[in-house]
Amino acid sequence: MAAYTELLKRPVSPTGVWSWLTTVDHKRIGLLYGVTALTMFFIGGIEAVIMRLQLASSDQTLVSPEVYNQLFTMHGTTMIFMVIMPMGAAFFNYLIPLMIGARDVAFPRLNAFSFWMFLFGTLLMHASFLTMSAPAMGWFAYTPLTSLEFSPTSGVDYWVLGLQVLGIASMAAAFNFVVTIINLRAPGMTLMRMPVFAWMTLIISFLLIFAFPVITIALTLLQFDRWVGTNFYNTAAGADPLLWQHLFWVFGHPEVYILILPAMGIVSDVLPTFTRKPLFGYPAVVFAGVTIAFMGFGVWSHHMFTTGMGAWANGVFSFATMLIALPTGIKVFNWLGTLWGGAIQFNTPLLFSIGFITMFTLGGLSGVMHAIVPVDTQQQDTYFIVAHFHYVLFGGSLFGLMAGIYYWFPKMTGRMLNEGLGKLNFWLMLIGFNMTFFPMHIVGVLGMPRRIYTYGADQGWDNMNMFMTIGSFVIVVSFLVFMVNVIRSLRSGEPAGDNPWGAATLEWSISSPPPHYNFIEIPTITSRYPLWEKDHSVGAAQAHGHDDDSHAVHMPDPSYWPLVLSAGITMLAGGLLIWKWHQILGFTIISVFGLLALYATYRWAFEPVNEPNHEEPHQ
Amino acid sequence: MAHVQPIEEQTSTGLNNRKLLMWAFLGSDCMFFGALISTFLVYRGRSGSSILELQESHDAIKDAIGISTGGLSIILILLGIVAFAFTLIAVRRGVVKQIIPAVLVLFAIVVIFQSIWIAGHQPEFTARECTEMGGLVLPGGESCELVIAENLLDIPLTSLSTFVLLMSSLSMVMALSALERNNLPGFRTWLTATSILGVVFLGFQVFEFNAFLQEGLTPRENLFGSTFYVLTGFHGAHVTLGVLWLSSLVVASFKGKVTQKTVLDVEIAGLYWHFVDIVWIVIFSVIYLIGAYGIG
Amino acid sequence: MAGLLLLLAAALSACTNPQTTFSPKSDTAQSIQTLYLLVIVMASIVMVGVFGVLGFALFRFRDRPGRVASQTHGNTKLEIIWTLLPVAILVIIGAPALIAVAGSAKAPDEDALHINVVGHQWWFEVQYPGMGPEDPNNPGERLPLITANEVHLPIGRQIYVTLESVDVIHSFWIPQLIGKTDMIPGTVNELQTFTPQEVGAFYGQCAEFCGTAHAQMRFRAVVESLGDFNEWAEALQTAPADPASELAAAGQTLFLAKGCVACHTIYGMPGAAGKLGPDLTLLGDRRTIGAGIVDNTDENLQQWIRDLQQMKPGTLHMPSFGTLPVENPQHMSDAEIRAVSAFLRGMTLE
Repeated sequence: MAAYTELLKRPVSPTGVWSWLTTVDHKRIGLLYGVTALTMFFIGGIEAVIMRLQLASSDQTLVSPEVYNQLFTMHGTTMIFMVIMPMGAAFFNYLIPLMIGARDVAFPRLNAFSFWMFLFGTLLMHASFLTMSAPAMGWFAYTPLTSLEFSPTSGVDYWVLGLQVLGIASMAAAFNFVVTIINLRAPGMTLMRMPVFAWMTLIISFLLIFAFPVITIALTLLQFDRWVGTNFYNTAAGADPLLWQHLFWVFGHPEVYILILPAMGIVSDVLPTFTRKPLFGYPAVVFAGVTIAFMGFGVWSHHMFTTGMGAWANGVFSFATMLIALPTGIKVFNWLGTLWGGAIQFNTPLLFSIGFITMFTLGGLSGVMHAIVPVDTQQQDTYFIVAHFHYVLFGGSLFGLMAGIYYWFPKMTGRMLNEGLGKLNFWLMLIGFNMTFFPMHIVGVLGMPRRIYTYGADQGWDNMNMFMTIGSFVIVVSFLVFMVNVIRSLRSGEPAGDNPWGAATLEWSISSPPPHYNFIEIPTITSRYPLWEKDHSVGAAQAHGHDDDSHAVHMPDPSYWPLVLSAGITMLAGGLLIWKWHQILGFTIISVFGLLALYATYRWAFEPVNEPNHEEPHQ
Repeated sequence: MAHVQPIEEQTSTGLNNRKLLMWAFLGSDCMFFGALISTFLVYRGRSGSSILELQESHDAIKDAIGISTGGLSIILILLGIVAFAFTLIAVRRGVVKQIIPAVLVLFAIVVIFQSIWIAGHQPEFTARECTEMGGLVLPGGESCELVIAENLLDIPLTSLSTFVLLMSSLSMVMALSALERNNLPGFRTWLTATSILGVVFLGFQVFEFNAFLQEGLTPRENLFGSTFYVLTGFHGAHVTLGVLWLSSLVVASFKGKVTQKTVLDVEIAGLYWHFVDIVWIVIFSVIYLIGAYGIG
Repeated sequence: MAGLLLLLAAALSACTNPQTTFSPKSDTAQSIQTLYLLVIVMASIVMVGVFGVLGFALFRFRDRPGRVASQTHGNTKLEIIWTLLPVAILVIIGAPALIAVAGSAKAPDEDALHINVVGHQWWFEVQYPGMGPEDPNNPGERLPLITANEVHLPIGRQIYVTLESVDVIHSFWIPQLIGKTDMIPGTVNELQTFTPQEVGAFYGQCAEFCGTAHAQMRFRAVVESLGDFNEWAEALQTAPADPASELAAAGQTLFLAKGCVACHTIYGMPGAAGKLGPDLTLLGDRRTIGAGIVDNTDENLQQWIRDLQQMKPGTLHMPSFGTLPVENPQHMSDAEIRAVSAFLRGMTLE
């Protein structure tokens, strides 16, 4: 018995591999998210470059159609679910407790669980490349193309199960951050004093909670169709192929806002710092975000204008989609208002924020064009759409996230990124991005459909495509510059100090990187920009607390169980895949890992947040 | 140096973190069930080509008994919910003993009355009608077995299992109330009763699934089969999880891990359990009452 | 700016980009383009406004020694103004858009030409209901006239297209004539009616990803005079004349012997009534082969029969006859392929 407890003793070591595998510290989890997302960005980027090479001129045979179809499916899925979403997660994991004055999130182990689920889901989906059967039906996987009849290989299976695992990860994180932001704010940190990024995180957490169940059910039905032989998407049995599209886009459109709102939050926090003035119209920016979230649930069918829904449905969704431009416009105008009258310092985070505002405005305007149904019948499923959503997701989300990386890197690592390289990175990325994606508007107008692996020389799209491919290499170079910058800084970057930018929000009141426990004494907040208060009382209290008090703060202990549980659940999904190939083996794996997951759940449930025997001696 | 309180005890809203989490989860779960129920409703009446011809012969049934029976059932269910709400209030105010028997009797009356009413209004078909509708005429030519979808539903039986599940909610309330008054034996008894009622409900479901499979209605058979099994099965999985959770609490209480101090643990489990019950009422109305007779 | 670039591209592309959406050749496409231009102009105005203000602010309020930021928190009046201004812009583009949506639901004219197009992986089956030969089982009723991958349209007559699919979702699109509408299995969709206004062969392409060879699922819309159209429709239901050359006659024999007829129909040719693949009646008259992917030349057709998997990877059902093992009875030698090609291309209007 003693040996048994010894074996499963709670991990305590503060360093080493096990400390990372069992960590429940939101800052470490945030870093894990960030590193994983950047790795996936690299993979998704390679996929994109191969596609660009294939399309550089007409009738190319660099890759086969099967491989090309796998590439664009995985590129979309990767960039959305494994790059932009987790990069947002990296920021809100790392920053939210620091911003709202908390020591950790409400459920630290749940937080670790959501990261491991995300990592394993990513690995599960990419395992499809090992069996040469990556999914090849596009990231929105319209039925009946995904049915066993038309997609007999296991690509769709990997995709469905991978997304289910990723969905659990996202929802676990969302529950956690709803509770954290609502319940763990420091005294005086009212909702309307929170940094805008915290607000946007709260909003996307609600979006995740309400949007993800719908895709989970849609995927579950597809799973039943493919594993059991049910008829949910079987047109021969009278099923309606549009059911999938409705379910998918009821999730899919809020998902778009899940991808863009974190970037909007980052920009809303970066602008005040580099203009030296408060955010213009803070309440308007916040409520515009809330409005976007609500309206985001009512516009899904604008992805389906060409499915023959009828004039009524088209008209209503067209109208609703035009309306959603209003709160988005309000945000842009308030950012302009923030710049107006400021003392603007052109540091890299500000440059990326300006890049975000301009590129996102372009993407938003082409979005309004799609709301015009007759026009959309000419744009739908062409490169015009591809241009639009890259302006929103790359020019928007990713530029915003890059601004965030340059802004908070000093806080996370204690070292500054090089400004010169940063500016080079920005300009290369802006130029490369526009070279790659602006001409897509034009080839779209010239009738080039998306998702084609080849095109004829008679179409006259050659020159433009070659230009885009060259542009994509400029983007590649810009990311190499970024990597060089990061590596250089980690090795020999200039030390950052607590508040290198002279920023106003709470996370800058503590050391860089922050101590394990964040705040030695939970600060009391009296305004939206506490560090710009006359007496800087918040920062002062923290600066004094460093010496010997730290060991008095009780932080949650690390735990094995989030890792074990997420491994168990992922292997359940793996067992389902193996089931198709070998029933007995699959069943065995499902049973073993099902029991393991159950066991881990129980151990987790009865594991105290702090081990009583770890009481600090002096208490 | 002041002792820093554990994270869980200090919250901005005063609402416990785990309770807030459970509410958020239940909100999310509504979307799960919402998506499934929408799927069921979208696919209602689309099961195979023969259903189209069936529609006409069904019209008469709808007119004759559908509206009256279905409408009555819904009214009775609503009455049941009102009664249930009153019970919860009564339990909260501590007038438990007087009200319980009254509610039990009320529920029993509701369900029995409903079952008798529906059983007495089962549609009768001539042999010819039966064959036209794709059914099998049983030996003797006296009754008609329809393999087709909705006609398999046994409303009286499921009313009974619904009643069982509603009762389990009541015993859940009793368990919580017992724990609040630090009555551990009472708590264990009531919570065990809740788990058993949950298991009985699952038993009904297994019986029903089995009966349907015997009739040839598999999940692959048609759209009704697919939607029916997945929707009710998804709910059944929720009940199974709840039974596991509640029985774990019973076991833990013997180890001294559930006490008056940790009443919140039980309250959260109770929230989940009540939610699962309420969802069942919606599913019961949608599949059995609306689905079977085409109300609405 | 963006608008100007787009207009420039459109002007350049009328002849070099046959699939452009900016060179409308039907009434409906024309009205779509009018709306399109309106939206582009309005979007460009907004863009120039936003970028102008942004650029001015960045320059005017850049940090210089002694510059102090004004500590404004917001301005309610401004918030109201920049909510109402976009509303005005949305009304300008939204009103005509919604009117156009309402108009798109209009029922087709009495004398509109009805065409039913069926999507297959990866080709288009085109049916003209009630225009074909008399139904032998149903005297007095006419069967649909059937062809594939080429939609013939008489100029100046309203066209009413219904869309179906036998497998997955496809989308039917002729950029110069009409916007796209999806072809959904289990449903019959209606394309908005349109009237072609210029003679010519227009490019069309499937616009919804539908599997491996989606990129090569194309077709042509041939707009011609009413006389030409009627002549074509008549020829499609006339038994073909005997092959003009010996080579073509040998090809006809091979077409039967090698099993082509199991999947392909040629109207009036005994034994050739397969339904799995495209109807090949009057193939010599078509502009393209392989679902609009290459010109209909002797060389291309021979290459197609020899090794179509190389020309259009993923094609279902049809073997690459030239690459089959020699002992396979369906194998065709180069000489045989030449003969079949001569036979198929020999079926023309004249």
